[in-house]
Amino acid sequence: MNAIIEPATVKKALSAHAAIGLVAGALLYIVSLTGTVAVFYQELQRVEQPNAPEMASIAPEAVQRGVEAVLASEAGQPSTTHLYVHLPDSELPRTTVTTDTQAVHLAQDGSIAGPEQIAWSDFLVKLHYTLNLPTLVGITIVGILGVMMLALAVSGVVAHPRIFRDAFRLRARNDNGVGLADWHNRLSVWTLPFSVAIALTGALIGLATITAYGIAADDYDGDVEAVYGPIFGEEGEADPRPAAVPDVAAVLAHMAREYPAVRPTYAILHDPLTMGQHVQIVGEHDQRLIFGEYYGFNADGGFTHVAGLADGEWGQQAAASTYQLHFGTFGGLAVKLAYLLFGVALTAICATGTYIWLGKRRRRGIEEPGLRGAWHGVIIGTPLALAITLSARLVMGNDFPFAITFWIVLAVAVAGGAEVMRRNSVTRIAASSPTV
Amino acid sequence: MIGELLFLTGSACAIAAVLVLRFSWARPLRSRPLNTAGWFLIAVSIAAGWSFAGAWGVTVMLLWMTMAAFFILAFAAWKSPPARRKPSNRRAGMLPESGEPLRLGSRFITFFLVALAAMVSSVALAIATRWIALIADASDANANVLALFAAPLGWTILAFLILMSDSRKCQLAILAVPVAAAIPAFITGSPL
Repeated sequence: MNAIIEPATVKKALSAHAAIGLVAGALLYIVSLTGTVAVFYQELQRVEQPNAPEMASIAPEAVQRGVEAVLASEAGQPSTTHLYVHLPDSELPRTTVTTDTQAVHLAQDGSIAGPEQIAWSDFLVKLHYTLNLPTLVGITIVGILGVMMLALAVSGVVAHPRIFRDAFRLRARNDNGVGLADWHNRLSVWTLPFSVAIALTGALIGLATITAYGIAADDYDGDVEAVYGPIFGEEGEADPRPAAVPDVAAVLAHMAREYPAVRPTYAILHDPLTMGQHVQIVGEHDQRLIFGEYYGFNADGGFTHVAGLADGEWGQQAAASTYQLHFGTFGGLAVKLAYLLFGVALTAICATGTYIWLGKRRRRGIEEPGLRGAWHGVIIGTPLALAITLSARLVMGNDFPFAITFWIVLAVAVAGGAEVMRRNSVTRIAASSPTV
Repeated sequence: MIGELLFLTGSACAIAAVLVLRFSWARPLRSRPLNTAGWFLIAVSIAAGWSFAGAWGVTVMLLWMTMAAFFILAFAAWKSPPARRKPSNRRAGMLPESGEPLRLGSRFITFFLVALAAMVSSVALAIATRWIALIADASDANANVLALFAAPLGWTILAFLILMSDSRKCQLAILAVPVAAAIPAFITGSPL
């Protein structure tokens, strides 16, 4: 590889690698760490609300009763545009109904058991998805971070011509910089397939909205939904005239009878209680990366179509595969544990990159205690802020302001880290100066 | 039964491939037969994974390989003697050394080109990709998904190339190529 890549190219690539890493490093660290924890989103919900009713399965008639009860509870309010029923599965054995305004758990018989209270888990996922910013801005920034992670992978490989040759060399017991660089480079090369998959799917999910805006402006008269229609299926025609509650029980019975190998994970009611309403089932397929197939039904429970995510166009299958590949939900606990390990490695790569850069500058005699302290603040402050918000959830309840608390704790950690390191440096210099 | 056999064979080959490459790369001189055997085992593992369960199978095989490498790295860390080599002091050139000018304006322009101009350029690349795919008779679904993938991949390449090039003219030319490629799509909309 040395023979292929010119030294000047290597130098430029190192410069590019450092530039991207230093500009995006802190946010990449936060997104990597929160993503690693969010792999256990389902399990965290069970920790957060341990007393919600759990069940291995639920009868179609009970789901019907639950849907009717939830819709009845919203009588007199503006109708919900969508109603989602999460059906129990092995990772989250709960039945939960979510509308535009509320989320409630159902008991085994379909009665409303109480409100869903998973605000910390939702905060964590929002932090990962949007950095708690408004959705479009936040998800685009996180998408850009995915692009930067891909660019870091490319520039990192070009900047280190021996990266594959030294793939197994780990001089871990060294505190003068070699050990840290070895950890950074070895973890990077072996998590490369994982990081590329995570970064690409994350960038795709994050940038899909602005890309879709561009495509829609060019060819769909600005209709963004029309971009997704050929991939995930079209929304039905709206008809606001009132109608009875759709027959979800018949839909679920049809699925059990006609598709016994498919595991329904969600029942989605579009425009419920209107003449335009229809029902979709998300059905999970075993040993597939796709999040599921959409099975369409009319309000009477009559089957209409499948969207084609499981066996339609390859583009549909690829698009439907990005979510499970990104979140590690395609192979049960074993895959989640693998994602935990690789996610921790990716987080460590983000953390060590800046330390390597700071170490090089220190060895050249450039001391930057403030920068070093601020970086300590990011590295320690992020998990600390997550731990504090989780403790607050367990002690103070679901309504605690998690997002603002997280960012305040992190800001204090960064500013505090910088200040402490600066003072220590001044004290050290004063102590080492000869007294007159 | 055949499926299980494929899965087990693929998994075993994935782990064996990493072990063989470890053994080969640890030698003073690399062995071509061992290297070939290692890469061959990777190919067998991926083929077995694909035959067993398509993309899901390949993904699981890659997870086995990464996991095996992590165990070997953990062992290497455990057995590692204290290193005597001096650490690298290669300059990254991200911040100036003492006495060098900050060049803040230039740095801001580079950031602007990578973070904003490249976004516009990558969306243009996505539109051009979709337009070409539709001309090549791709379905709407495939063309739209190609475009959605083209944006982040294109942006990655643009960001890398911009940061690798020395002159501003060259950087602007790199950004202009996707926009120029999208002009027919801008003018005609759908080619169909």
